[in-house]
Amino acid sequence: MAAYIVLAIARQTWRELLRERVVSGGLLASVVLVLAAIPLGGLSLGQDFRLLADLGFASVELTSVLLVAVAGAQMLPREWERRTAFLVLSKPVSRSSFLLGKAMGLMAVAIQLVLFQGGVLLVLLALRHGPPTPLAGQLLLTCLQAVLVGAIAVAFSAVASTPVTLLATLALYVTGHNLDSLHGLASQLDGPGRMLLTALGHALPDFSLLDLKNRIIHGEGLSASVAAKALLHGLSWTFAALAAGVLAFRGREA
Amino acid sequence: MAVKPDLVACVVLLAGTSLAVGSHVSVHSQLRGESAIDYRPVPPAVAKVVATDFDALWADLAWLAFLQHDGAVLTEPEDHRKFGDLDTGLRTVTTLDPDYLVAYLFGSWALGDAGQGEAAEALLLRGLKHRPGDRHLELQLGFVRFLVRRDVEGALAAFSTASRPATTPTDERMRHMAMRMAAGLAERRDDTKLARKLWEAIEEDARAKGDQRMEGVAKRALERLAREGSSVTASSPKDR
Repeated sequence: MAAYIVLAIARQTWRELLRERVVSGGLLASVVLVLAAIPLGGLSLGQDFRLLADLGFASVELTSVLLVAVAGAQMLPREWERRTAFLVLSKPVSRSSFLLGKAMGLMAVAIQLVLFQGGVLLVLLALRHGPPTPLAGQLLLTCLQAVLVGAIAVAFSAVASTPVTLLATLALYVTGHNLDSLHGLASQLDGPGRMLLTALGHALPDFSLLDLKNRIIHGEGLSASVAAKALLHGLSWTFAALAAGVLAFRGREA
Repeated sequence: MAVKPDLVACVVLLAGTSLAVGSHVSVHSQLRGESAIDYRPVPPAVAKVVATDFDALWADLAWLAFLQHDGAVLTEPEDHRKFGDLDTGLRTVTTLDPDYLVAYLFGSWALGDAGQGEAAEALLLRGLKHRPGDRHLELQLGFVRFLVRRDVEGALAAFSTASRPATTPTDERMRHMAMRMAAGLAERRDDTKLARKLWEAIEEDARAKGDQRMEGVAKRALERLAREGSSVTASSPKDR
């Protein structure tokens, strides 16, 4: 597996994805949503900073995750439909390089989406309320969320169709934000049900761990240890999802 | 004469749009009264489950909905006010984000205005449970107990708690207000010892800061207490 091949495929994928209308449309919608927080802030009895930050970060996260999930779910099936995958794989390009290249292109777009929207949000916050330095930390975690969603989508798309991939990816994302409820439910059960739910609660990616905006926005602070564990959790899951995707894609029949 | 299809299309488009807008305006004005949105706050437990990690955002939206409905009611004349379910709305906001300070402060006034003093006090006590030692909440609790619930003893306890030493300028300002309120209430309760102690502290602080007006107020209060001994009920409201 040559790194330059992976990078070449990643670059091509990145270019293709940026040309997608759904990406530019989603970005525009997100910026409009962030801007809508400004007049809303005037109606909130002095809560304009928190409204702009809360709505802005939610918009950045949801738009990026949705766009990455949709793009990731379509990416590989489209390559099969257009037969471009056959063309590439007939050259001395391994399946692993192909999949990793596609995944890296998608992840680059994910990071770009978050940084663009987050940049607009931080500029707005800075213009209206002074430098929002601590909030930049959440942008890094939001990038990681989008990257992880991209990795999961690519892994599923290696074996499943676009709708199934999209549903499974979003289901994991939503469940990953609700693991506390899963643990709460487990604590009310007995026997195997409890064990199963508890195991699931620990075995699924915990997106709440990558979502520390409430702590940062509302001044609770973020310890280095929590931030490091969140980064480790996100990165480990990303690598695990990519590895699963590579394994599944190698075993897939064209 | 040849009819240009583009011209026909434009005419049909304009006519269709005019009819559509006209009929909508007409129906909308007829149904407006019936279709007014009825504000019903989402129960706090449901909101908490649905909000997942976006609870701060949902708290903001619940707060906006609360303000748009019940905030507007507060601006109406007292005999025309029709409040919604204030307590549920505020519980939703503060369950989603227990640190939503303005919801406790403004919400307790709104509940007090709606004649729900007990709920106002409960809201502030809930806030203090989540934000122990928050002087804004302690001070507000004192005002709600004194002005809404007419509970002088409870108000004195809240103001006394808020009178403890402060470290920040904002807390210091609130501490002074709490001390003055507590001193006045202690006089009203005939607790001469506490009243004297508080007025002496106020006088000392005012002297240190060069606040001659407040120093004069404290001096007059102390003189009054000395003059009247243990019976201090006939004090001047201006000085309090």
